[in-house]
Amino acid sequence: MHNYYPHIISVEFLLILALFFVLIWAKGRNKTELLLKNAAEEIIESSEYGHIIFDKDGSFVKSNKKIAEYFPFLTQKKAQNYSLQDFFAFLYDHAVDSDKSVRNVMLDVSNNPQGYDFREVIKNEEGRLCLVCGKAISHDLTVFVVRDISLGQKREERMLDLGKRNVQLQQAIEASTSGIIVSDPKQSDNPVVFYNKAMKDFLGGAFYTLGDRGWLAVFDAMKFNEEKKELLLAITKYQNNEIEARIVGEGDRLHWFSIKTTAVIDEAGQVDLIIGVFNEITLLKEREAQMSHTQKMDALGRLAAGIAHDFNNVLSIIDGFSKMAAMNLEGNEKASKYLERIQSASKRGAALTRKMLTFSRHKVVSGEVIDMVDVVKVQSELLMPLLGASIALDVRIPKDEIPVMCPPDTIEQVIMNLVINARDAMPEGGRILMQLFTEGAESVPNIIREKIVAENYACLKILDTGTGMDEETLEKIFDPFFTTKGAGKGTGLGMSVVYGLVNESGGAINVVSEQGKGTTMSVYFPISNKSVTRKIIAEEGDASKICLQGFTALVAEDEPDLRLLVSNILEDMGLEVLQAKDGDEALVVQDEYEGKVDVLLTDVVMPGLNGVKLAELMHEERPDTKVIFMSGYPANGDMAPVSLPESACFIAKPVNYDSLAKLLLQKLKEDRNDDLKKIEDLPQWKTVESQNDGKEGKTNVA
Amino acid sequence: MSLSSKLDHGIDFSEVKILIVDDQSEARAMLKNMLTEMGVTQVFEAPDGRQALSFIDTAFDFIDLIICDWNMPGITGVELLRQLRTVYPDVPFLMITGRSDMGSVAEAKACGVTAYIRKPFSITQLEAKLRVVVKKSLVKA
Repeated sequence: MHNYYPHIISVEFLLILALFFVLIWAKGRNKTELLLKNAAEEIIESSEYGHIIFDKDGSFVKSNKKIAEYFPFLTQKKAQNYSLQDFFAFLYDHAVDSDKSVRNVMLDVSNNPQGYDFREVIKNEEGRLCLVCGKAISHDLTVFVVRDISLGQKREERMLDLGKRNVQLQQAIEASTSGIIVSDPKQSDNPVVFYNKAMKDFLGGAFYTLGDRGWLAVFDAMKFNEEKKELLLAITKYQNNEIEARIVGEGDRLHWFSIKTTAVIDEAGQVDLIIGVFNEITLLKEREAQMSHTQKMDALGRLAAGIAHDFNNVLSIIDGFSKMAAMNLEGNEKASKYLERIQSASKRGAALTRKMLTFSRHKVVSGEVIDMVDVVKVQSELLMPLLGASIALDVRIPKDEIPVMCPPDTIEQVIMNLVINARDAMPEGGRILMQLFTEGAESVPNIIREKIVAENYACLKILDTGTGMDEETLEKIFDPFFTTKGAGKGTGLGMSVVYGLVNESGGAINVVSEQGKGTTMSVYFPISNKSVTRKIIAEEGDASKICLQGFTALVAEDEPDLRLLVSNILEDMGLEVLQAKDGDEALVVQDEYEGKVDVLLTDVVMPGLNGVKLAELMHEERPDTKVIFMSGYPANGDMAPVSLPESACFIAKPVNYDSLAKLLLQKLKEDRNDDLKKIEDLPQWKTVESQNDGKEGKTNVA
Repeated sequence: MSLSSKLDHGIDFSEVKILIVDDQSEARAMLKNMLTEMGVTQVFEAPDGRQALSFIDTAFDFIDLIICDWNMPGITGVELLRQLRTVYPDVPFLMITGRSDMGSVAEAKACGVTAYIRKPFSITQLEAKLRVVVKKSLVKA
């Protein structure tokens, strides 16, 4: 603190010193003395420093206005009785330094009042820092000069502050994830004079060979193509510019950058700097695309659902009346045939609306957990004959089960649609590889990462060596009624159904396709941490060890003891059992039960609704429910009060554990044959007309 | 309403009097035909919820069971059900819903629908549902 502007103080001292010498010299010369005295007073009064003067006894001689500004108690009047001792005491109290040099000087003054030279920084009542310099002059007077040095200190602090802020700014620039680059257009070739860390990262290895070369080198290093021309033009014209550029990075991955260049103009109007800010916006771009895709699919879904709803109403009227007309037309074969055609057309229409509704369905909670390995295995076996000799299907599935929570037919339908599409993409034949494996949530595509619902995902990958798709086709692949297959060969709903089903199960699809090389469809399903709901555990020939876990049976029997017996046997096997004491009650029970009823065990003869009629009434609502009739009478023949349908499955009373177990096992395994029948019903379209033009693309949905 | 006394010994549909509420005349006609095929002889029709309400208010004793479409302009099926339930808490009510109306099913259940049937349905399905409705009403009675 002592070192602020000491030279100014010295000049001031010289001035005052000179003044006093003049005063002494002028003693006795009255007129001149008066003039000089006036001049001295004038100088002291108008000085920009504060002055206070004491005589050799320490009594107050004079002070100026300025000092009263620094020390308000020193107004001319009050200062009259102020002594040097008082002033020192004041200084001592207000000195900013801790060494208390004032005290030493005070002691010094009392010992040797003539020989000291004093300098101290004090802080006045307002908090301003003042440098106080004192000097004894010619054994007569002690003169103090006070100067406000707050201003000087502030400037110093500002300098320090600026330096600090500069460092902070630099740290901030280095920490930024935006690549920042600065060039100096005042030099020839406009060399780059600064890169931040993010920019170095963007440039990668290329950075080390760049040196201070200009913008072209930077754009070349980043592999910009067309965009660099526009950017360079803007830079050479010193215009501000902002563009987005797409580059192909490592592993053919697309990267998006936004580049903003700004010309900084100095006060003289000259271009001082050119600053480029690079931001990677790949994720943003992907999300944007995803979002617009999701929105489009939602809109299409709503549209499809609306159409399907109204269309269903129309269909049910057509179907209902044609059925009734057929009933009333027995005997008229020609008209009956026409009506049959109407009915089969309305069935096709109903299948269509069902698909449209599947596409637009939103996530529903299904309580059932299935083993995906089992479903894929069975489904692939069933699909094999569909593919023909020219297509090889290679299936790779893990040994351990993969529990996935979704209705069983979801995976079946997904596989069926994807495999049929793969088949149709290979009119000349080829190879389909179907792989099933698990992946951690972190390695699933970005698309699901936004809405992760499980730790692990089951990935079903279906690769074909077919024609592949271009970008345009890929974008529309899930749109309802979009098809590349020829007229009449596909409804354009297959992939929409896949989209709806996968979405509903909380999964996602990723499609990668290359023209002429083939397509890879990856479907991800969240793996459930619950165990598989339905499980058949049975040892060949040993009925006592059968376990039908997760299955549900409905027992309709009017004899209470028998109903209880059968129910107990079924519960022992692990089934959930619903009971009803007659046919109508059975109808009510199954109507209120929301889950799947796997098997109906019904007495044939019951009061009210009999077993056969019950089975018939239940069949259309629950076509998958297997029926086992229980009767004390022989199945058919004269003795039977109700004749059973030909294909009926019958168990004679009294029912025993072993025969019921065997029968159940056989019935419940029939499902697979039913699936085969469903597949055989599929249209057998074979050829694909694709209008591809040599581009490749990629699309995904969630 | 005296459904229970009519249906004690097995269900005989010829005795059941049914009110159909649907805004589409073809749908009403079809439903009426189906019911006739099943042996129902007394079928009444209302083209909207308002007329259904006024019919029920004046002739409640003439009907045993109501079959109503969910989707109607003005008073919807569920609103009709809600209003009916305040006055006739036990009237057997079969709701016809569309395929995508899973939400509506939950809502109808909350309002005390006796049963619901999803479009499109066959005569067999309708018969099964009617039996469910009648059986439930019998149990209640």
